[in-house]
Amino acid sequence: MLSRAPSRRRVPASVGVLGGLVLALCLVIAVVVGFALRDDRDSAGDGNRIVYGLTLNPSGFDPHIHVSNELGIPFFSVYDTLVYRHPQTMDFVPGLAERWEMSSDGLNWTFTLKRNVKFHDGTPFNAQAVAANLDRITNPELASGKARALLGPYTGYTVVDDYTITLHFSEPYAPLLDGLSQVYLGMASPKALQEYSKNTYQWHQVGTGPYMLKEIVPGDHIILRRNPDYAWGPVFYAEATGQSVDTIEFRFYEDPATRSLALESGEVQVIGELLPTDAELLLGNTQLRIFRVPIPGLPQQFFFNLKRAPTDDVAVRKALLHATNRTAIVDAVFQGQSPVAHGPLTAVTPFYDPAVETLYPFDPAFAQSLLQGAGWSDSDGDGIWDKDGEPLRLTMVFASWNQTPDVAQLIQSQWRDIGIEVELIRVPDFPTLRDYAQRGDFNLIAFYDFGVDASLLNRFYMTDAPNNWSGLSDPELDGWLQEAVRQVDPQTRAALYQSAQERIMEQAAVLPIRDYVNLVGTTARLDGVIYSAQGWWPLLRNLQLVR
Amino acid sequence: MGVNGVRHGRLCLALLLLAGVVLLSVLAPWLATHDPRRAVPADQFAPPSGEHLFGTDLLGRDVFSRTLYGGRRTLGVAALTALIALLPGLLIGMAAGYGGRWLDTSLMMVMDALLAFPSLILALALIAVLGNGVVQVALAVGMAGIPAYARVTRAAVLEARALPFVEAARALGARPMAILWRHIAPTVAPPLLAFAGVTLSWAILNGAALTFLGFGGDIAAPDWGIMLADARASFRIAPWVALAPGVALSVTVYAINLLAGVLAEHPANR
Amino acid sequence: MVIYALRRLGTALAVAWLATSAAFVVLRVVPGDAVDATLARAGASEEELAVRRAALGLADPLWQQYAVYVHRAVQGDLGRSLITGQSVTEMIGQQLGATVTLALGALALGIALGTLLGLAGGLGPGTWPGNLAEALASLALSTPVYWTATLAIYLFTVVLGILPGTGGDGFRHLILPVMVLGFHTAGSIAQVTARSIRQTTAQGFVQTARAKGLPERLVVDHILRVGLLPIVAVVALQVGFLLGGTVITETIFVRRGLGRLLLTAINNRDFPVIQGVVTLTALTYSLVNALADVVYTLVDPRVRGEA
Repeated sequence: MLSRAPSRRRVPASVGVLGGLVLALCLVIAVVVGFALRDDRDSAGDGNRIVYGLTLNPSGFDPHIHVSNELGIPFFSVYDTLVYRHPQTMDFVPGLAERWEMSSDGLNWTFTLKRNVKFHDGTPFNAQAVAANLDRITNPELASGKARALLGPYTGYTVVDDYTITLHFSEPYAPLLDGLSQVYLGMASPKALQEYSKNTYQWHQVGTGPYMLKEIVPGDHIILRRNPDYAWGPVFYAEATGQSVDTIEFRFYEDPATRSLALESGEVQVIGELLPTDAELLLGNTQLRIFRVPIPGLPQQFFFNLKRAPTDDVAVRKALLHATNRTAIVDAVFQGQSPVAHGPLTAVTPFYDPAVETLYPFDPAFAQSLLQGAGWSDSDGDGIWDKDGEPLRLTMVFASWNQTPDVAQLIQSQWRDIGIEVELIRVPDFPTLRDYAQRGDFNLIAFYDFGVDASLLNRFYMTDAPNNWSGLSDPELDGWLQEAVRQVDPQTRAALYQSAQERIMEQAAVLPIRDYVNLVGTTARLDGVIYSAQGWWPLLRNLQLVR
Repeated sequence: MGVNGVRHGRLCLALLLLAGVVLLSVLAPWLATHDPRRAVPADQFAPPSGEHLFGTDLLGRDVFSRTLYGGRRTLGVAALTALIALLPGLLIGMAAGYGGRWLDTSLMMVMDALLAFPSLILALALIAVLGNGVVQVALAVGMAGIPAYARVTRAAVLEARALPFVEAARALGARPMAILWRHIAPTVAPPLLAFAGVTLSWAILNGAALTFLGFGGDIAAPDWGIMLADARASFRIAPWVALAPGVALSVTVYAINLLAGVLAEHPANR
Repeated sequence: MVIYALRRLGTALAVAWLATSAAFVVLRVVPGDAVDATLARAGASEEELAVRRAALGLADPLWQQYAVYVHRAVQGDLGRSLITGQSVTEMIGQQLGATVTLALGALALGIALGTLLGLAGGLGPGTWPGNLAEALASLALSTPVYWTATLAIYLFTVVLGILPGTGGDGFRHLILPVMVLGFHTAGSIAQVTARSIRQTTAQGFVQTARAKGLPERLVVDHILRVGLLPIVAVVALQVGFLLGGTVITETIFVRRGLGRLLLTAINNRDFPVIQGVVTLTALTYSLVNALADVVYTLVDPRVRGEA
């Protein structure tokens, strides 16, 4: 007889079952008690309060350092900038600077600052404060992303007196005012900058703006409180009233499908980047309002790879442009809520050239004739063009943002109808996308950025520019783009950008799809919903919560 | 109904459902009414009708045809994923359960480490090294499932090892491999088969979850997991887009689980 | 017992080290780094990127980076985020509570519901409660979490308006996510429970015991004891999945948590944060499995434990 188990008393199994259930009950009690003991967020004294849904978790929160557009949504109102762009006229209007002057050689800009302006921590705003900010941004140790880039060929400053400061440049620099009007060059309190290290300042940001940063928990929420002393805003900022919003809580809604649900259930009062189908659906809801906010800059688009067959042949690229039914794409994927894009800039961008609209109409027959002219034919009868034994097969690389996968699938289907095969490669994040770009392992790649000043084009289309993923190299175009940055006169710039846009499209360096439009949903109880000239950033100052 | 009668009934149901699913998938090219990849945007979100049995999706593709073709791909990839999880997991679990304490501890340590390893990173790394493709996602999901199989196998082996007849065999000096094969493996098979049902559905859903989070694969391919993920964005204006793949998936998983259960309890397995 | 506990603790630490090291190496295989994710987007030149990489220590040889990391880690310093400069320990601390609460709640519901469904399905095959239980468990297993989550929000928050859906840390905000995750957890547990009980019931010695006239209570006792054993293993696994696999639930319900932290860190190639989370999850899995082994030994002494 084999030895039995040790003489330990065996635990009855029914006890086991009971034990399991008791354990479950204990866990429940633990959770409940845990919550009972937590102190709830103190919502007393919140006044008028709204929840604003952000859509992307920015990788960092310091406008001087980080590059995301999303962080501007709260922080555009925490800071003031020296200069503002009027959201309707796009003109430059005084901000923290009352007036400014450029020297005749274009190398010096002198700003006269407003007086009686105070930071949220009581520090007075003056030329020394501006100097401290400039020092910080240009300090290589800070590793500033956009802020430094927006200053262009800046070389230094001179503090003329307490309320006058001159900025020096090595070359004339037309986009300066536009750069200065962006949140990345917002003015921070020198006291706070000194008190906190370059990494910890982002949790304790202090500006002069209409809202103050109260609390920030990364990945979870940001809370702003109205600045009751604010009296120096630009001309388009409204006066505070009893219906101004006192507290704004920002939360991160990264999943597009739940945004409309959050809005409908009243959990958020404002949320951006609604899905087009949801926006359509919500149009009928009288308790909500839908806004279509156009964003200046580059449209949603694909760069061609000019250094890789078969997109190295301009005839092929032109054929592809003619073979794409962009209207169908905008109607299907974006429910017609965006304009079709035709060129390298969106239609609301200053210096946009309407002439590009007629360059590439949807004409599949013409596309086919272009391919034939370039030596392509269907020699093996498989329905796909080929040349020298190679089929016309392309790779299209993109990330998941902004419904690009749906756009790509539709393009794949459209091109297949006329005998072009496309392989779709979706990448999960930006570093992977960039890796494809650097290896040149694509024929089309989805990439774009936003901005008001057309000098944005330089980063993408000048030879050897850091984000020139298409490989376009046109010396004449380089000359125009470079000159357009140095010429301050708007007429001259307009002419240069006109040539530039037409040349980019003649070279067929890019496949534009649609102008980016931000679909914003708000509760009908909110008045004064206006977005800044840059498109992404709301003028929180003007919000009024009625009823 | 006696126990055997019940088992018989369940077996019939399971086989019937599975046969149906497999048949429909195999016959997809003949049964499909449209090209599953052809986008006709003008027909977007058409409700079910004579022309489109289950309606159309965002890009105007026929949901019925996509569901039919989707079966092949979904089941194929899921089977591959399950296999990638099962075979190594089985071997490791057996070795750990039957081998010495040192082998057990070290193998389980590796399994715990693998379990803790985010499959997202695994997917990224595999795609980086092997390129973008559905096999890579299957590998990433499958590898993440090995520890589960190993643990369950090990637990069952530990159980079996303590059984009287196994102890007897060891006392009589039988070789370990023979014991493993003749005595332990048959005892271990039932709980494993029980777990297998869970694995297949887990494989489908996790593959779709990775896709949902933006990782790899042919996004235009008809695949139940991908279709379900895409349908989320439009479920309020076009709920039928999710209905067909959702029902197909549920029925398939139910049938597989039913079958696995019946096989696990078959007398010959004891 | 103490020696055993210490030994298992040692194992847990070894597992954590193993997993973190694997993550360290594998992350370097993946294209791009934190500098690519941030500066490169704004159009910085290659020189500027190189300077930044050097400052972050990303340009050092791999063994050196590893040595530095391990050296700090054993002192409790898990490093700082490459993106925000925040301490990794602090970042994890901020997100941990929410994940643990969600996981424990879902586990509790999953065990309770799963055991019930499993018992019904296992002890009563062929009866309508048994079949219903099986069908429910099957449904829980075949529906993706992101679907049940979305439908739950739609039904309870938008249509019925009785439960809060997204956002918020309050207790009421926990109800829906716990219901959703708990439902899915219950599915696995129910399935394995039912199978195991049915299988045990059908075993020869059970029928023999009954034929011999053994009191039914003892027979059922035995069935449950042996039949419930594999559940321990499954529950241990579920804990693991719950702690590490909640990213989709957190994203949809807009909750804090380790899942979202990890996903964001992966997208940004924030190596220290990723490694920190991996270390923590490895430790947790290992400890949970150790606990499961102990329970195993307690319930069925025939099984070789480590005692």
